[in-house]
Amino acid sequence: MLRPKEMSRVLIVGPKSLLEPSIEVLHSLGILHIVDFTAEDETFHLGKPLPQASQISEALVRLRSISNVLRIEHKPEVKPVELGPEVRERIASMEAGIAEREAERKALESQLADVFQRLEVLRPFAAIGLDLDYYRDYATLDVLVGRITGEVSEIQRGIPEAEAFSGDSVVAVFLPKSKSAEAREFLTRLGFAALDIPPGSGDPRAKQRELDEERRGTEEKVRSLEEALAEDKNRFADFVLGADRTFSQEIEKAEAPLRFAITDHSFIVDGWIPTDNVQEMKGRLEALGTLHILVEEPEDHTPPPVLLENPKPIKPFETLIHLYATPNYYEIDPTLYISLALPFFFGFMIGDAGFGAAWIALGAYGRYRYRRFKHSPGWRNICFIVMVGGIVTLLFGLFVYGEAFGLAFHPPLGTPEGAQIVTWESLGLHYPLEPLIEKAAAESVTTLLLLSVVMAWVHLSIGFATGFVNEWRHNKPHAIGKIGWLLALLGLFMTILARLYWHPLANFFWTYIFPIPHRGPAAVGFLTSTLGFQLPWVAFILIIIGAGLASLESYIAIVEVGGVLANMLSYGRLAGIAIGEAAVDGAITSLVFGSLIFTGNVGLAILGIVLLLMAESFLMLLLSGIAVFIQALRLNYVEQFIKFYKGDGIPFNPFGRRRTEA
Amino acid sequence: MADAGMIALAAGLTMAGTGIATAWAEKVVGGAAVGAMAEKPELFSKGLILMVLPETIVVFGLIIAIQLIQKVV
Repeated sequence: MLRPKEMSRVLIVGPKSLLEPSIEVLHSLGILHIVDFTAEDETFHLGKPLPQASQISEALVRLRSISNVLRIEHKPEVKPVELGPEVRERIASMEAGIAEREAERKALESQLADVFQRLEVLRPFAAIGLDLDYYRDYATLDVLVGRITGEVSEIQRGIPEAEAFSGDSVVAVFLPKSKSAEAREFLTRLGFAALDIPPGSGDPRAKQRELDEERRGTEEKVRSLEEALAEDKNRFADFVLGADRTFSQEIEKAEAPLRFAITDHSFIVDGWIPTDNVQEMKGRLEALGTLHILVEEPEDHTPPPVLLENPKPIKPFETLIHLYATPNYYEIDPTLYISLALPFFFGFMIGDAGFGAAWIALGAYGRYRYRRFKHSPGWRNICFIVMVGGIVTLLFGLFVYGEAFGLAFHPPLGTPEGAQIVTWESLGLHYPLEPLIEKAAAESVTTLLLLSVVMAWVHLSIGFATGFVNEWRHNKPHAIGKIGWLLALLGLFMTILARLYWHPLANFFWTYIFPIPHRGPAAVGFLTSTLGFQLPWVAFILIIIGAGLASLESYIAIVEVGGVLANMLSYGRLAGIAIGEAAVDGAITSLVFGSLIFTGNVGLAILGIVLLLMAESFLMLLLSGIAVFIQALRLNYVEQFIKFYKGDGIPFNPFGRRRTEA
Repeated sequence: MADAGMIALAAGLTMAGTGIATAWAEKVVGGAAVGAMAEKPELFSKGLILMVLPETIVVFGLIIAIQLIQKVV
């Protein structure tokens, strides 16, 4: 927690004869993050792939080609295929058979396209119905065939010497050659578009029937080939995927020497390994023969890769950290922060027992649905986070806001007797606890805003404090600058508390957390008249000192104090969304219940309730849920992380382990 | 209070103005982010963060509007 797993740098040096067994051991251990060798010189060269690499890649190419033809989809969990001498032969013959079928299918499809094209050409002539011989070889006659948009009867009228045959909007005009030019001009006015006369002789309709027959036959063949290919897919999919996995692993091993340094007689592997695993690796490698293993501590100029280490309940939140950026090895890992703040913000904003329960159910279903995705846990983790968010939402709904599915448990305080307000109580459900904050009440707005600012203060203070710890290692003035920001933030927080001094929560802070004078003579005079409220001297001094210290980090710190204030107010979205959600619920509730229940029509009321629940569930659960999640995430990513986070770490990617993050 | 209407109007204008400003900014950022994501899907998280940045504008508007309204109540 807070720190990534400790890493040690290892150099493994051994004779070339042990290269392959060493690769085998390292691959099976799956704990070495190899640092690729790049600095070639006369002594040290890049390694060459093991001799079997070409055969393996050939098999992989064949497998990928089969997958492509059969459209085999990737499945998360497949059993690798046992590697034996017959596997590659099986793949080769399988690929040959499938490629042959595929080629045949392609040939048939192009044949089919050809038939379609010929049918298309014939269609107008079949509509006219004359034998194809009639269209050519005249000494004195010209034949014009084409589509027209005008009336056919007009041709006869316009060119009396011509004889026209028509069908569909196609016309064939026979006329003396002498009239040809004149007729063309006339026809053009009727929107004439000439067609080519197809080769061949005889009745075009008979030809059409023949081609149709051919089309049906070819289609039948294509279909049976496709069926055969689909059957192949069913039969071979598991084998192909399993073999793909096996050969992918094999190729990783066979090509590993490309990442090593090789001399004439030896090889050198450079990499990082979790310090806890050093002894295990040493033991396994030294059992092979004379290998030299050097273990070094990390040095500043080559930062180790980062493997986050967190206890199980907050581990899923690592996904959100990687989504943003992997922290570097020397930074504090903020998984713990986000695992506390994100669900809390989420719950604070939605704060509804019914929707909380729905989110828990949805998250649990998602985890069940993705249960087999052990190697790409991203979605499973998101579902877990949703579940935790749901739990906090449920708690907020039950104990703070007192509402479920947008309906309050009790009518708000001060509601006149007999007022028509729908609550769970009026629906017959008696809930024993009174809400701490009534979202619908006007005075709650200030309470929620003030709570948001308190959360901002805590959240941002943690951010600056973490920044101090991160900077202390390599830049002391910057670290002190962070303390400056921390003080300025406190001053700003006090300023807001002073502005809202009349509020019970602010009063609580002035009484118990900051028991200092803040009003009357203790307040800054000239600012009081400018700001319109009393600013305690303490807050003013904190901001000035804070900005002064912060200028160690940034020359324009005094201006940037405004930025910190903006950060704090940005948490106002917590209150804003909480109220907004309540307002949407209130609107739907009053629309549906107000007009239905109180009209006394029971059937309509039940329909109304069902519609209400469905509409709200959809709206709240999906749309607002996603929006709220993103807002909660944003407060962590933008407002807090920027205060301390560099995020330029290299994720730990050990040799022989499948990638774990999607 | 005679100015109650004017104050309410001011609060409404604040919300409208900041809402439009946010929408406009998000339109520009969102369009560019989707374009970038089409090229490089791994930019999703960065795009998302940039996309929601302008929402702060409307949050400020909300706070100002609440302050104004509280002068009426």
